[in-house]
Amino acid sequence: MKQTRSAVECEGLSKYYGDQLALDDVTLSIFSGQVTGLLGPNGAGKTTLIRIVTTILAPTAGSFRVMGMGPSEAPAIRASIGVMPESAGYPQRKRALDLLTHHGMLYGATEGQSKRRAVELLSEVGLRDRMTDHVGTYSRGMRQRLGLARALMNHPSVLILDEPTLGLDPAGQRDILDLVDHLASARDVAVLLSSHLLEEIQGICDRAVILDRGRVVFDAGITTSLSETFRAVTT
Amino acid sequence: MSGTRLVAREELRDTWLRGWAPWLVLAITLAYSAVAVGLAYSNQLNLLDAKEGLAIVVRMSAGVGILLVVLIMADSISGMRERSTLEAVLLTPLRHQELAAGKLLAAIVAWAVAFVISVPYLYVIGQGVGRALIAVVSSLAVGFSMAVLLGAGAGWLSVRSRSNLQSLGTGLVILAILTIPMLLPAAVLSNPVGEFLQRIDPLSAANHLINALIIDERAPFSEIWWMISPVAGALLVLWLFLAQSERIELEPGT
Repeated sequence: MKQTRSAVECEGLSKYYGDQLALDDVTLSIFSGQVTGLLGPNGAGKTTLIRIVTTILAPTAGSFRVMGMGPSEAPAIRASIGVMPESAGYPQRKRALDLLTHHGMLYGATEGQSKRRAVELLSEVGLRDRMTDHVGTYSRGMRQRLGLARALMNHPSVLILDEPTLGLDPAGQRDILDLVDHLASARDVAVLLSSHLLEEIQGICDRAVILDRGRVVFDAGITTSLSETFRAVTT
Repeated sequence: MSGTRLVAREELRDTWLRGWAPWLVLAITLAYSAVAVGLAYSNQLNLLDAKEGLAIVVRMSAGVGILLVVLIMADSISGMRERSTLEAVLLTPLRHQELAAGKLLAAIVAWAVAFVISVPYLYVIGQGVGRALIAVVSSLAVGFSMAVLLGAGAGWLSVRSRSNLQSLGTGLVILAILTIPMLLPAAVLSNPVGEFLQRIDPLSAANHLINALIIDERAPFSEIWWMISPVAGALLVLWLFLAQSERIELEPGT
């Protein structure tokens, strides 16, 4: 297992939507230099947990810290994380290069710096030849690559990927996971990879957390008990 | 570059370079030209004089510009929710107020374009610099305050709505309600209650001001009080919009 400096710490997080409990007393840590899998069936609370630690949603109870910062420092937290949201939409008539350049400028980069970074990342995710094409012409897999590049625009310390392979065929899924693995190993970042597929997590993660109906039911390395626990919550 | 300017610049690029706005300029120009030709014929036939023609173009310029601002702002946040593009922006350090202010700034440019295109027509139809100048200044004052008021109002609805349909529908209903005092019979409008209604309703006050300055040719300073309701309304709704935008959420109420 790689080094273990805590990047994200959650303590007793709970979230209610009306009277429906989505997260129930979740306590976990995510470490720099590791890829942590967040596994669970649909509706387990994975996206809710991600939205809380990315400051998009407020928890009903509990606390969290990202790179040592609490929710009162939300803009600083957002500046230090890169997120690929589940089913993110993209402006159809924008060129990928323009989209990323503008996105980088929202983090305070100049237009020149942002454009250089965008070209570098689009090359890294294999979209250099298509970077001046409209995003509307991209396939689902290409959009996921673009989302990955966008999440890395601000040199994040924590990279959060919410179901990055959703809707892709098996070859496309493997492609994206290889890319995540490559990008994560080339950077000293904490990666949180959310998925409802056990094989994805087993393939590239150093450890895994299983959520079931809002509760953490597994938090350890990739062992045989991971698959047993996952089977138990999905059957 | 501040977040507000950055958002406004990108919105303007999307609308004017990659979007529908150039077609809009063409449509507005054609509409003004058609009205100008119609007014010229009416003038020859003594159906309408130059002052009435001017008032029509001022109302048209303000109306077209305001409607565009309302349509753009009604789509501003709820449209991003519908297209799933809001989350990526909320995940950046950009302050929510900067996002809202940038959107409003870019939307008001659509009103400004409708206003600028109307200026040469006001000069020609006004048949003189003095009359045209009054029309331009009234159009600027009334149009700008109403664009801010109704644009910010539509934006406020957009922040709180789950869908474009909801924000646009509610916005248009409110717009229709605001026009009611203008439609009251002259007898009602001339009594104290009618006049009070006109003074507190920004649309009616703006309409009264256009009539007073352009058709009745009253001195601008004697009618300045009619600007209180549009200006106060614009400031109040702008403040509400920016305060509300602090709480822009992925799904309203979560």
